[in-house]
Amino acid sequence: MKEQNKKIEYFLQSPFIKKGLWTLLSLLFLLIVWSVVCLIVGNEYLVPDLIQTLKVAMNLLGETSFWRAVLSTITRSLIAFASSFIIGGGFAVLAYVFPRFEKFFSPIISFFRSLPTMAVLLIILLWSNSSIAPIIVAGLVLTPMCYASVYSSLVRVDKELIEMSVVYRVPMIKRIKRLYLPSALPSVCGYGARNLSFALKLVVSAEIMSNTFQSIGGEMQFSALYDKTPLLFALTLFVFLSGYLLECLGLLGCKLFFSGGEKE
Amino acid sequence: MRVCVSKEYPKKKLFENLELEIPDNRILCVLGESGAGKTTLLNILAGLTAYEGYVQPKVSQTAYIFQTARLLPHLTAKENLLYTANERVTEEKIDETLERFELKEFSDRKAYKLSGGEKQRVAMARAFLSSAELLLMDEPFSSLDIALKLRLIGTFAKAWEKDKKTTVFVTHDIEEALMLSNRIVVLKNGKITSEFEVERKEFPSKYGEMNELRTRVLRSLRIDNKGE
Repeated sequence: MKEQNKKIEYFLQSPFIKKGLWTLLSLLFLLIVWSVVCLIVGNEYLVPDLIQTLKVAMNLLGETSFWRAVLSTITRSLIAFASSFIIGGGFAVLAYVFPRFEKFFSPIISFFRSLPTMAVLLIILLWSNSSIAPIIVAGLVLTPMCYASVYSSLVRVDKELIEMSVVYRVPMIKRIKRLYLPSALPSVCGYGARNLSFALKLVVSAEIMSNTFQSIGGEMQFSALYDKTPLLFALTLFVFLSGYLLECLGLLGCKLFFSGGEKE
Repeated sequence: MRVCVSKEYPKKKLFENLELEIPDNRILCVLGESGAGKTTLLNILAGLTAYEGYVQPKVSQTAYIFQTARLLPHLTAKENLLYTANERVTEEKIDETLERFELKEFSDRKAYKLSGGEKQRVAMARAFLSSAELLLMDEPFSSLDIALKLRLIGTFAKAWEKDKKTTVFVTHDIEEALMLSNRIVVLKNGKITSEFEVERKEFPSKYGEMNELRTRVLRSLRIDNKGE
């Protein structure tokens, strides 16, 4: 009996279970708050019932149009994320290698960082269409963030190790492969994983404003227009969970990629 | 090798026409207090710091044993040697070097898991594996306890006897200077103030030996500028 209790205690104390339990508790807390707010407000138009929302969410899962919208939104998010990473990351490498570029890029990056997103979206809608505009807007917001994260990761590479590599005339390819990438990639990956969920939220927001056809944002706009509050809440819940799942998957991927070689 | 260098920072002139003769295949020790410019001198020889003057003949490559080991933490001891080794170095040569520095049992251990002494041994192995014509050492034993220091000095001496690389070794520790070098120069206020030839019966010298030479070196370190 004692041994069984010890096994249960050991299992409950494993980091994975601990983190999972805490996440579950947090989620439960949010659901309780929702239910309490629903009771207090007492108006289903403003705050729908939790059970009804979950029923609507379950029904959504069986609809083809919903999955088409999901695929479309996630595709836009991935395109926005990938392009911002390539452009932002590329500029960051340039800025690191050529310090004058950094001085040149810095004000431009600050400018893009301070752009009012939705105002930009309205301008971009004039130049493009509601399908592309969310990608461009999300890309404009994410690019400075990717630039900053890649640049700061490169700057944090140990200068003493760089100096040692210079003294020993280590070829640049080797330095990139053995020093720069292993030093910078873990933190870049971490930023990337978090920005992935942010990309989804940006794209959905832009889709709402643009009323993009066959998208989650478009569906949310539709449900708001036709007072389908439980549907709106269900879609919001879905976006929240998807963003969280994307971030977790991204961080897990990073952890597996970088910790695999450390075990003896 | 002849060196004549000047180095100035915005608020400080470190050396002006500092002349130094570095004997081939011998260990020259530059002794001086902290802030004397010893590390800067090494960095000039390594090509890491700009300077005015000349270093003749020009050094195409140096090996450098830094104060801290400067190993890539995510690579194993062997991989750290491979990182700086040129393409002509064979696997056998690397294994032989690991053996020479008693690193065979740690060859597959990641650098971040090595102790301070083990790391410095890898740094030494890396320096001796290189085909550099000049070996620079910047107080490589300063962070070690006395027992480990003596052990590493012994390891270094054994390796050096085989290769006899021209070496410039800086330290503020007289005992290290006496144990390892063939020639000691004292760097003070941007100038070489004294030079001493070290005659010894064995290499490295025993810790605490050469009292008379020690006294002379100490005296030269303490000479007031007013007297010169």
